[in-house]
Amino acid sequence: MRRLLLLGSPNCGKTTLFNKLTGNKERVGNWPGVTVESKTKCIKIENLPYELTDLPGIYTLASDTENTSQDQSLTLDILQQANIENTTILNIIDSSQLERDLYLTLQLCALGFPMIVVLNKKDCAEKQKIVINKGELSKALGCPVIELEYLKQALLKQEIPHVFLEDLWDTAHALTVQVQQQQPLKNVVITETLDKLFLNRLLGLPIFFLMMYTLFFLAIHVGGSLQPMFERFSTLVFVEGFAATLRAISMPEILINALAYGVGRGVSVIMTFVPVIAILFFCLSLLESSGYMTRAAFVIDRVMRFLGLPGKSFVPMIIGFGCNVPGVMAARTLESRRDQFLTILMTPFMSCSARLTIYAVFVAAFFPHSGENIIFSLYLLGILMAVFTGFLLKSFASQETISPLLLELPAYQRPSVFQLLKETYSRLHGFILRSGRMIVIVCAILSILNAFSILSWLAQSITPLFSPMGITQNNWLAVVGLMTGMLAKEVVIGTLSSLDPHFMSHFDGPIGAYAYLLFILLYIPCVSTMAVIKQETSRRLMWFSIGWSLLLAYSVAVVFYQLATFDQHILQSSTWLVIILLMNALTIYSIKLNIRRHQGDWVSAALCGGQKSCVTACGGCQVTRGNFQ
Amino acid sequence: MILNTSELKPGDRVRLISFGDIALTYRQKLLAFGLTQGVTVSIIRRAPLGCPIQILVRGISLMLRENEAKNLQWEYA
Repeated sequence: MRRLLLLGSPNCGKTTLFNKLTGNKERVGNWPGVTVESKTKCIKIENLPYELTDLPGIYTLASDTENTSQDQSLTLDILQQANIENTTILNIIDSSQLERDLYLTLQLCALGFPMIVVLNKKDCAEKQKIVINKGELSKALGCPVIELEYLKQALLKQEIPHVFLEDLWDTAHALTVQVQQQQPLKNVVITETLDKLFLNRLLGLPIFFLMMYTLFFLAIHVGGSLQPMFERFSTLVFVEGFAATLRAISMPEILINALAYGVGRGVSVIMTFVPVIAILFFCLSLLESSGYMTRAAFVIDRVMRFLGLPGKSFVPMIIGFGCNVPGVMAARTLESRRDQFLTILMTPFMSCSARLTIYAVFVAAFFPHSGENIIFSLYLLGILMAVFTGFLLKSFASQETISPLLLELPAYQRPSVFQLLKETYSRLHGFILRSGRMIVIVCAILSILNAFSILSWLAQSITPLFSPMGITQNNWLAVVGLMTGMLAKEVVIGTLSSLDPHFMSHFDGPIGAYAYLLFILLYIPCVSTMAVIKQETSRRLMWFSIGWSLLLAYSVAVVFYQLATFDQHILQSSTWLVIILLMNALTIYSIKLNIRRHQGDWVSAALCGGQKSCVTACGGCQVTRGNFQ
Repeated sequence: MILNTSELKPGDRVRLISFGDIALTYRQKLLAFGLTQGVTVSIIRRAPLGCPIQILVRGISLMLRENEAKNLQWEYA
């Protein structure tokens, strides 16, 4: 259905036209500002459906937040969000105020929408003896110019051309030639020379990988080597020091547990991320402001396009191998929301260094000879699952799959250290404040559960759920490990070995251990990752990420275990395989339905939590739909 | 001689003669970077894997993907 937007200066007669077309009786009046909100109605013209929107009048597209009234910024917002493919602008002009109104018309022309100029207030113009040459005006603007009465015919008659005001560029060019003198610039020469190196056909890719490796090395290794120091310090202050203080003022043990070992531990978890995230963001800001980031996108774009992602997505994914938290945050540098969200959904499948600590212990015990292959297979499987997730969302989305790439390669610049530090600080600050809250809350809840032995009771009661992946009831410790692993995956081994130093003996040999590792690889991101996903996207997408990774983890682990032990219990294994298949089919189908409900736009499906804003984002005129005239 | 985007080689100086049948949102973006009908463009280089292409238009150094710009038609300037 085509959308028609009524645009024009205040009091040029938009609402009068709206009422005429819809048969509505909206308030009209002869003063500017009668319409202060947008109204949308579906109408039919000769059986063709249209969605007509009346907007508050504006004089100009220029806006500054302080002086533009709310009704006018509403118009600008709606215009900004309008889709050029299905929207036609009806620009209403007050014939007695041609010059004033053409100022807006010319601005609208530059937007590239199909447009019809409607001359209104003919009576006023006639009184002032004004005659307008419509043919001449139409030629100059490149769009139909008609009188009000002929609007319906004009809409039906032919395809309305898109107006692209290419002349603006000619004017800009002529003006530049006239006023500009240029001496050859050193900066341009430097940029050309550097580009010859960085974008070189042979050296471009190796240099790119070297840059990425340096980034990874600095953030994960240098930042990571600072982590124990931060951890020791913050544990000393926020956990032990805090607990000692609370004991000194003789608080009850339960409160000490919740405050020091819950809240305090949460603060200490956040602190351990500080060096990694600070270094990462410093490096990212450096890459961005120096101008290399767009070169990186240029070099790797071809590879990433296979995944339906732009070249820049490579950076968050690489970072994700170190730690998912900064990986998710690095996705901020992407241009479109769709690319950012997709990258964020894929990043948790990149096996982070915390997971590597778990693999290392298990592999040493169960696969002494082929350890590196086992670990490599886990990394590869993570990447495959990320690609699978991407393809799934891509195939359900109705809109074009990837935003077109049109990036300017700016001249290289020497970044200012002060600016870099400022940017790093503001990003770090955002992480601590917003993600920190959730991390603290979850830590507090888990510590309370642990204090009352609820955690082990809970683990024991849900252990049967894990039997199809080879975890028997006497191995309920493994489930406790999974639960504390939600906090941070590096604590899994710590939990297991502190509860039972011989925890390895409970696993069903190498097969059971590998199934457990598969689950560890894929199951829900740690609480810090969840917190940043929520911070960067929406609560709904965070829950989706949790549920989806849990399903994939369970499916992969069970399918592996059942296939590996197939000949021992053929019937049982087949049943489990069928159940897993059904579970996945059902989930994928419901994802598909959900995306369909949002007109194939999964980004707005992710943002929509049933709030009001959802209606404008994905429905438009749902309220009045079916209410044709 | 009419050229497709895929036939452009580094070092070429070409004129844009037609947008062909491209998505309007894309055309709008192109316009914002000064790619208007008749504008002269220098082809700087291709990425190491062949795509995207770096071009110079109105002093702006720009990259575009070959498959997205495939409908654009050019002639030697």
